[in-house]
Amino acid sequence: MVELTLPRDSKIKQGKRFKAAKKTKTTRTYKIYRFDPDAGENPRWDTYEVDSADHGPMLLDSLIYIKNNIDSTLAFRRSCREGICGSCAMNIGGRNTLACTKGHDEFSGDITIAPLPHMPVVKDLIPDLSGFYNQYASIEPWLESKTPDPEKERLQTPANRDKLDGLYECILCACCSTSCPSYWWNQDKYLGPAALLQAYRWIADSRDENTKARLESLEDPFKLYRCHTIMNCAQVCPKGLNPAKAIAEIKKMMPAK
Amino acid sequence: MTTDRNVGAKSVKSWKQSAHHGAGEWLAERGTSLVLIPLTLWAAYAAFTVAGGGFDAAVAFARVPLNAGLIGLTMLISVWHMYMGIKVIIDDYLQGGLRGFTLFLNILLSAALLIATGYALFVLHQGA
Repeated sequence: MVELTLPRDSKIKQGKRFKAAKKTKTTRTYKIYRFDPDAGENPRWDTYEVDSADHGPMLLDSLIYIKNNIDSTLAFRRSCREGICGSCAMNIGGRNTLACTKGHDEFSGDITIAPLPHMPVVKDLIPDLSGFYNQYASIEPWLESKTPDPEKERLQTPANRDKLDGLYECILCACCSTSCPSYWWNQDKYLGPAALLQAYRWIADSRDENTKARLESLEDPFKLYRCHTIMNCAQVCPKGLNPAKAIAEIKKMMPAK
Repeated sequence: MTTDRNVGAKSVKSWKQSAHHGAGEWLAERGTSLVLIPLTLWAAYAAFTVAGGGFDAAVAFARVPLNAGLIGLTMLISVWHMYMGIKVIIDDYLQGGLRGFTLFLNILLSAALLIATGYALFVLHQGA
């Protein structure tokens, strides 16, 4: 059934305010979503005032500064800090992106930071992505071939290799899937843009010989056809990919399979 | 309500299962859309020509076999298209019993529209 409001224990309350000792021209205000499942309390917005001159240019630098100097209880994922691991995907200024590749100077006014939308929250900015990873595993993201292994690598023409451009770069940060309204409403039945882009990455690969079975396992009103080309996925992808186009290619191949 | 839809609880194995249909519906959505372009233009033109002529002009128009056929076809394709469109919305937003009930209402509404169309054309054909 449709839920038009948040459940009572999910309503976000006003939290603590950590004021800057001295406000300068470069002081920024961050409103950060905080939730601790062990505390038994509702989530809250904590506010932090930070001088941008004290840390690096990216939002991840701001978060690390806050954790190191203001509030060590703040929890978030991060690893590579250069947009290749996808760990620090979160909702910044109302849009899913990677904290490490987004500059705080790209925003004006207060900056809100929340976990990826519509996922169970483990703590603060950390969403539970186990369902997302199961969806990815289900599309069998590896080369499947009946021909015996050649002595060296499996060759591919440059033209066939070009078909993988715009697909292989996906880092599975989940920005796209968690920005998709269809995924919000039906993530227990719809694979979502990330898993479908990855599915197409193997369908489009000339070395993969399992295309028919891959298409057959995707033909489902919910797994594939919940995509209504809303295009939020393409808009938020921090790698500039277009999952909606990959899904459209799968749909085009489907009747002829 | 939210726990039984916990996406994390669904295994990789169950994600691999598929209903093995969907491509047909996808084609039908696009096919009916294309066919409805000329049919809707014709329906608008037909409405324009009978407008102002009153009940008798409309009856005379619908008695022409070609017009009756096109009315029937337009209604058939429109209702089919409408049925699929409403089903998409139900599948998007509703679950469980409410989904089943609204899907049933959708079938009922579509069938009622088609039966009414068929009956009206039949009565006109009989010359009532």
